[in-house]
Amino acid sequence: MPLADFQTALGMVVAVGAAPHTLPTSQLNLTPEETAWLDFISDTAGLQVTCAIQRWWRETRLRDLARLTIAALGKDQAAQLIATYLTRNVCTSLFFLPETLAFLSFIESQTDHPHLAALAQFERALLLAKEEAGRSAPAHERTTTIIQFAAPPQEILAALLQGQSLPAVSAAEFPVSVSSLLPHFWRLGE
Amino acid sequence: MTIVIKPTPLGVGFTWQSNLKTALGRGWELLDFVEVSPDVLCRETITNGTRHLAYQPELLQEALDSTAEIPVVIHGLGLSIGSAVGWSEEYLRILDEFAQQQSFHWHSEHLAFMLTTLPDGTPLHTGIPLPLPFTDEAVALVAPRAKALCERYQVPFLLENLTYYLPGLPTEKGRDEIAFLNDLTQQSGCGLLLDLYNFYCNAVNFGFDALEALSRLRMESVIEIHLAGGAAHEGFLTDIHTREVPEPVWQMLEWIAPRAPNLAGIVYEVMEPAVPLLGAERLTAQLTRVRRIWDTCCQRSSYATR
Repeated sequence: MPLADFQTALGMVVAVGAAPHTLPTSQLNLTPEETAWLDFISDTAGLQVTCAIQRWWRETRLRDLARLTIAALGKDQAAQLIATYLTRNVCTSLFFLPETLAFLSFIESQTDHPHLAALAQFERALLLAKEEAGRSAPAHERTTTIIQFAAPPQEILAALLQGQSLPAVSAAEFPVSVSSLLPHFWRLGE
Repeated sequence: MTIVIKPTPLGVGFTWQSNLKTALGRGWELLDFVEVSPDVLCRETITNGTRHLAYQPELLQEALDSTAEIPVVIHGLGLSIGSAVGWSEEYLRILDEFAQQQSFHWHSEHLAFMLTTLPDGTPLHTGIPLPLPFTDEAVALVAPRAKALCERYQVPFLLENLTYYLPGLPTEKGRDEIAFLNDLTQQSGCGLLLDLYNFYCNAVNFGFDALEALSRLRMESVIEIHLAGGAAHEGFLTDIHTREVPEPVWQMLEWIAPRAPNLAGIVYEVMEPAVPLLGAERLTAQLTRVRRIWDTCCQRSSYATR
C-alpha cells in the first residue's frame, strides 16, 4: 500500500522529526516522485511551519492543563522541559488529558526536586480524579492516591500562588489524599 | 455522480460551544443553526495503545439541551478519513451515539489524515491534520468512505478542504487541489464543505489566484461554507479561528454564494477561547454581514424552525 507508506514517511517527518534522508526507505514502498518530494520539503519553510504548529498545539495543551507544575518549574525550566518532552515523546492524541498525563509523568521522572515531583504527582492525580468524577465512575472503580510532600502542601501552594520561593525541603512527610469522592478532589492527610 | 442527498437550506451558523447563547448576545438571534463537533464533548483515554472516546455527560447534556430548538450540523475533527491504515472507528462510535440522541442535517470531516503507523506497525498520531497527495490512490481511498458515510447516517456527508503548508504535494494527472476535490465529490456523491479561509490561506501561502481556482470548482458540490480569520506565523497564514474574517475572504464569499446552487449553510468559525476576546459586538457584526450575504445571494429561504 504505497499511500500507507507515504503517510508513514510524512508522519515520521512531521511528528517524529525524522529528516527525510534518514527515513528507512528500504522498509517503505515509496515512488521515486514521493521520495523526491520528501527530500524537497526537508528544507522548506512549509515543513518548519507544519512542525511548529504541531508542537505549538501540543504545548498549548500542556500549558493549559498542567498549570501548577509548570508554575513550579518556573519560566525557563518549564520551557526547557516542555521542549525536551515534545522531542522525546511523539504525539499520541489531540486531546488535552492524555498528553498532559504523559507530560506530568515525564516531569516526575526528570526531576530530583521533591517538591516538583510531588506537585507533578498531585496535579496528575487531580486530573485523573476530575476525569473520574466527570464520567460518573462507579464507587468501586474510584481510587484514592496518596502523595507525600516534603513540606506542608498548603505552604507550597501558597508560595506558587504568590510567586514566592518554595519552602525548604523537610525530612518529614506531609501526605495529601486525592480522590474523585472528595470535595475539590483532595484533602490534607491520608 | 451528482450529490446523493441534497440538504435543506439552513442559513447562517456558528461553531457550537459551551454557553454560546450568552457569549453571542444579540448575535444568537442571527443564527439558523449551530455546528457541533462531537469530539469536543468527549474525553479520550488510551489504555495499552487502544483509544477510547467517551462523552463528558454534563457537556453532552448542555449540547443537547442548547440545541433542542435550533438545527444542528456535525463537524468532525477526529475521523481521519484519509488514513490508509484505517479511519477512527472510535469517532464513528461516538457519532453513532450522538445520532441516537440528536438529529443533524449533515455532517462533515476534514480531508486529511492523522492516524498512521511507524514502519514496525506501531500506531502514530501526526498531531496535526496532514494533506493527502492528489493521487488516484487517495481518491480511491476516500471516495468510497465518503459514500459509505452518506449511507450510514442518511444525511449528506461533506469533505472539508484543508489549510496545509507543505508545498508541491505529489500529484497525478496534473491534479491540483480543486481537481482533487472535484474528483472526490464526483466519484463519491458527497458534498463539499468549502472552507474559504482555508482556501484563502493556501492561495496566499502558495501564491495562486483564489478566484481563478474557485471558478474551476464543481459548484453543485458546495453544500456548506466556512468563514474564519486567523494569524500569520513565519510568513504563512495559518488555520486558527481567532479573528474577524479578512476582507478577501468576504469577497470570495460574495463571488461564490450566488454560484453554488446547493449551498445550504454558511458558518462563521471561532475557537472557544477567542469568543470572549472578540466579544459579542464584533461577533454580531460578523454574523450580520454573513446574514446579509445569505439573504441577498442565496435566493432561498432559511430553515424556519425557530
